[in-house]
Amino acid sequence: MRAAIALIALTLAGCNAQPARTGGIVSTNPCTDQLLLALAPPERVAAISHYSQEAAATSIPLDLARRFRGTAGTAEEVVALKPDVVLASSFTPASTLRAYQKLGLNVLLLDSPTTIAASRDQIRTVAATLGAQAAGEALIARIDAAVAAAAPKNATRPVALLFIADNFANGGPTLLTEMLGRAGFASPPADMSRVVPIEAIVRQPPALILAPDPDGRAATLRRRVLARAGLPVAEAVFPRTLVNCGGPTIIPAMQRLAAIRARMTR
Amino acid sequence: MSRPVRLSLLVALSLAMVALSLAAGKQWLPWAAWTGQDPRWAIVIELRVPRAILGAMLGAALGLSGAVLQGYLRNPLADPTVIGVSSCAALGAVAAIVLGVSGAAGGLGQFGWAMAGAGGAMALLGLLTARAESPVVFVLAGTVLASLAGALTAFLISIAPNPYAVAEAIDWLMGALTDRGANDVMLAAPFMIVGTLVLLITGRELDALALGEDAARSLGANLTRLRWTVVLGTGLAVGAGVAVTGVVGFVGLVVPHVLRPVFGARPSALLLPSALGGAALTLAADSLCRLAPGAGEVRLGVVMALIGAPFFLALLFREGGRQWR
Amino acid sequence: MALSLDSVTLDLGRRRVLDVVSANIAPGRVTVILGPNGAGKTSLLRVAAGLVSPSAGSVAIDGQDIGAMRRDARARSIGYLPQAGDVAWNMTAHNVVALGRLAHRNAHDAVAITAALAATDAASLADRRVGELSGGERARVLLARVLAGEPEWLLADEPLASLDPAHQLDLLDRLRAVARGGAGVAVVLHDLALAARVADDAILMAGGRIVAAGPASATLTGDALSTLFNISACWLDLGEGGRTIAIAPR
Repeated sequence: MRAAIALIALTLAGCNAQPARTGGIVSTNPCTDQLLLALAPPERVAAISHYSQEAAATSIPLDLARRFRGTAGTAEEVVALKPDVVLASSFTPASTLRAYQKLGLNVLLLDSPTTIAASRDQIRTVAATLGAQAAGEALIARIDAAVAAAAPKNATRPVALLFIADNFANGGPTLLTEMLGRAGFASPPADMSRVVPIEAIVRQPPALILAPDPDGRAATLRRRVLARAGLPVAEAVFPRTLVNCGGPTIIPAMQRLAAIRARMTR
Repeated sequence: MSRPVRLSLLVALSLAMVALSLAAGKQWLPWAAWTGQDPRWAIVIELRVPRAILGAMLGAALGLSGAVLQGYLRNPLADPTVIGVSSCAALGAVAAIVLGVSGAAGGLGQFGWAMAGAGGAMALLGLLTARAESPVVFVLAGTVLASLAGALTAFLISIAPNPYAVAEAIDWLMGALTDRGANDVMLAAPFMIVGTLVLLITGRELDALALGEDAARSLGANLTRLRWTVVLGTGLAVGAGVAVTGVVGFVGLVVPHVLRPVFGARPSALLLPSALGGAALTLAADSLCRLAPGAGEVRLGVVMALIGAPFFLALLFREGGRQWR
Repeated sequence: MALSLDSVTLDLGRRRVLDVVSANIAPGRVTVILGPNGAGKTSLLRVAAGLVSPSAGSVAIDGQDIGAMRRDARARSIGYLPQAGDVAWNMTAHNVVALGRLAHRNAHDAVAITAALAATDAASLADRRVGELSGGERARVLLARVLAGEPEWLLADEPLASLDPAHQLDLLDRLRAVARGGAGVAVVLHDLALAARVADDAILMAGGRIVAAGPASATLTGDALSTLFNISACWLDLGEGGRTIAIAPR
């Protein structure tokens, strides 16, 4: 019996693909994961968030993510890795942050940037912490180039309603709102955010609806109603993976928005 | 006032609520909007009409199953949620949202999962109460199912992969008829209609139960078959309702209560009125949802709770126990 | 033609409630079932009514097993008046009595209901709600419910509980009238004097077994009752041919 328990324990200990190590950086959020991998070489990454290894939640390619150790970010797991720095986010529970501090971990707390400028600042902060200032500046330069390239060619600004989930719209002062503005779109009325009833859309139709899944339940019904109302609302796909994070995600997001804007004739 | 007259008044009220449902909203739709040329016709035909049909069916299912369960359990505080079917249907739907299959096939994914939850609840209920002699076992089994489903639902929400799934699940759980279209009606209608018809035939045996189980059996009531009928009817009607609109409470509790002094205390006399009253109440509440200020709509479950709580407060302040009988 | 139990055994869980019981209930007569608490009287009645299947043995009407009868045929034949006199909902007395026609539901319903109300002197109570009636009035209405079904066999479990003496005597007279009308009546009673008044036949039970059964005059003897209840019981002459049973501690 004891031999069996010992055997099981050894097997479980060997379950994780990566051997335990000390030093390095632990990141506990898919967005900070993305930033970390853009700025630091793989050997400095101790662990990334397990969410980055799930298709529904990740902001980095899955095969890249799976090369690293995944963590749920609990204080126990993180302290066992003896990291140099822990990248935490506003999604980290308060009790976990307190536990990190009690255990003497070096925590860098990052929020979700709501403007491109804030995203630049965040990149600089992380780059400074990692000692990777050059990589940081290079990334910022690429982001600025993408934003500039996405600037519209003409002066019209069609109203765009962006759904980040099938039935959940972006609204208010978010990074997505600024990106839409930079790409040449106007914002819908302030109260058209979160769950927007289709009646409201019919009442004040935007020029464009962006949605992650054109075959979603709400998207399908919206299309039917708008078609029957004879309202010329354009549709385009804006992938779910582009709405979650700032930083490196801004580049493909702005490229996509620019492509959509260019296709619009009005 | 005789029963046919009272029933006619109730039917008239329900029809008035249907009309209100079609007209009321942030934009009140006049009859002119019913001509094909008006762009608001799209709102009417694609949104208001399916919504009114679904609201009426949902309200009828909830009111009727409330009346049946109160008669079956001989308790004026019984409610469809007591048998746990709505919690299990909600669990199925939340699982679909969190696991990401909810958008599949135009909503069939989420509906299918919710109905599977309801079906599982019905089967478990049948199994757990197979040799039950009294309604106490029935209520206990339902409570077990409801608690388990509630715990699993909370667990699923906690492991949701992203905050939008969490928001979607929580939002869905509050119950809404917002943006339910013809597709949702066609998914839910067969189950709701069959469930409602099944429930409507229980009247006489519920009356006999008023004398107690032994007396009812001696009068020829088949109590085993009655239990299966109640489970099946409620499971199909309420399960399909929850699958499409989320959890809407209070209707099954409030409507039979309010109508009991009007239509008599006999369970069979309350069945049809509770269905009509449930439809009227649900449509009225849904109209209120649409009339809320701002671009968004209040959740139907929230409005129903806001109606239900003061109702019970009023009940509390009336003379004590006489109200129950 | 009799309602007969043949070697009926009933186990509820691990308890043997009825132990190889054979008894007959004859039509046109009132059979009184007596015994101490826990003797199995209610169980005997429930088995006779077909509400619970015996673990062994059978119940038959005129030779036909009641377990094989159709549910509604059995309901039309046997009327059961349970001990608990509660009605779950505050229905009118008329609606309560109408429940007795559940197994019938034909053109004869209205007549049967009216006759049942008249037979129990409850016609004036018809439009009143059961919750507002006194104990005696409610007992009459519930008896009317059983009578409305026009059963051939009427099985009543302690129908006199919580009634005042006048109402007790009244209800017994009505039960006797039902028997005289041709039905077979079986009543579980606790009061020995009342039992003595109404019984044509008697069944004495103890510990799940039948201790004695037969015509009342032969079965309800002072000695038998004294042994059964562990008291001192004897018949008293009341003059003008009347008799009653008097009891005293042993």
